[in-house]
Amino acid sequence: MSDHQLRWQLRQLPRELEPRRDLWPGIASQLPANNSARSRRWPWIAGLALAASLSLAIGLGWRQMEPEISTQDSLRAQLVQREADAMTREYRAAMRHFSGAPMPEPLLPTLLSLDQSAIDIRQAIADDPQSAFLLQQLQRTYARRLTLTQRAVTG
Amino acid sequence: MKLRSSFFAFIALLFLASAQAATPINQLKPLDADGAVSIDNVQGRIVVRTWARPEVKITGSLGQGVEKLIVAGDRRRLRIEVKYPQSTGGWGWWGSGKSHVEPTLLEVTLPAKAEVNIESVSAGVDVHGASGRRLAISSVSGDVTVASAAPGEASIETVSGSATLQLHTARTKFGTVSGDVRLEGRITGEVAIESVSGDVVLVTGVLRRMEFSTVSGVGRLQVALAEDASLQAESVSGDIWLTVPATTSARLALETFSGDIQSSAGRVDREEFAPGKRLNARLGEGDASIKIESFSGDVHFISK
Repeated sequence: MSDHQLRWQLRQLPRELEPRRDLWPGIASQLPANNSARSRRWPWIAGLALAASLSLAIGLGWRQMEPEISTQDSLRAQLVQREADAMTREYRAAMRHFSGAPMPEPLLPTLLSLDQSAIDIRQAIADDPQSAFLLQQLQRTYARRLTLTQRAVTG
Repeated sequence: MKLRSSFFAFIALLFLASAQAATPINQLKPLDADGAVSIDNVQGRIVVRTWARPEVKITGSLGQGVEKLIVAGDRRRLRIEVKYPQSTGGWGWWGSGKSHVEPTLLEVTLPAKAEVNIESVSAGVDVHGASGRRLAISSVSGDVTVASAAPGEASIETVSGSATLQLHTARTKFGTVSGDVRLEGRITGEVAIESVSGDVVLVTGVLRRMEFSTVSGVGRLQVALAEDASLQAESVSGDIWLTVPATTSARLALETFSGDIQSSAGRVDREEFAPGKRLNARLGEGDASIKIESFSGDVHFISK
């Protein structure tokens, strides 16, 4: 997959995240508040880029790897990680609309299971940021959690 | 005298209460052979059977505390809904112990070629023989059983309920969070399955396209592939077992970050200085495409 294709796919993901249109009113108004979060994330992203650069340097020394390939991998990893962070911010903004709403007791284990799955996927993305499919898994898990929460609240 | 009349009033009330505890349902409505029926019951049980008559028979019993049974529509489209007093206020009451609504049993017999759409929360769903244009079932915690059904397409979704599905269809879509599913029958064409933590057992006929995705559930997939078929399976931590016939002609691409790969074809390549294993192989002429990717789940490929 070329970087152009990857960028294109990643750009589609947040839109596909919308399980129901009415989940999202108000998110846009909350996004400016997240800009600070975005800027706080940058040092971490920069750290990731630095780590990727270090890996590249080590790779060059050890294996005479082609620099273009490593640079592409690093870019791809950053894109995936950044997209996961953005998706998580949007998900949390959407979930704030349901904060405090009573959830049925029989549903709680499932909701916890979904939350744990999202944590596991985010960890997997941190470990293997080359995998674009993990991003789709995260998107689907967030979408399921949102849809289920909305159905529980509205019936 | 006053005491006696009070006593009779009390007896009458008791009788009324017992009659209300499970109000029998018995209705018959006309429906075209290829009409559509939607059934909505939150708790209890939904049983669907088919017959050759252009009618829908609704029997069973309405649980105590249910507001009413709604049967509305015409001979093209019929809606059957058990209306609960709390139904407008979300599911917050569900399982809270505050509800005094008893389960409702809905038995619906409908034309074999009718389209069927079922929605349940905790009600179990049991369908036998639906063969219309579409069969759609959505359940939260209720278990779903489908047998001898041959719809044009099947779309089934549970949250935590398990599913046992025996289908004859060319388009199948299944989704679950934590429910286990066994899906088999004469399943051909296109199959899409998504699970979060539920285990999946799938046995199919010849497929043209298949997509399988799980987070931590185990997938046991036994499929046959058409020449130009595409099979894509992804897992975060769940193991994937794929079995195909020995005559399969396909390009095989397996990849895992920290899991294992075991395959009856090809050779596993390991990354030298990083985690990761991959296997690329060609089966026969290499017509179809098989791609399995996992993060930490094991990948097993068997050709036999």
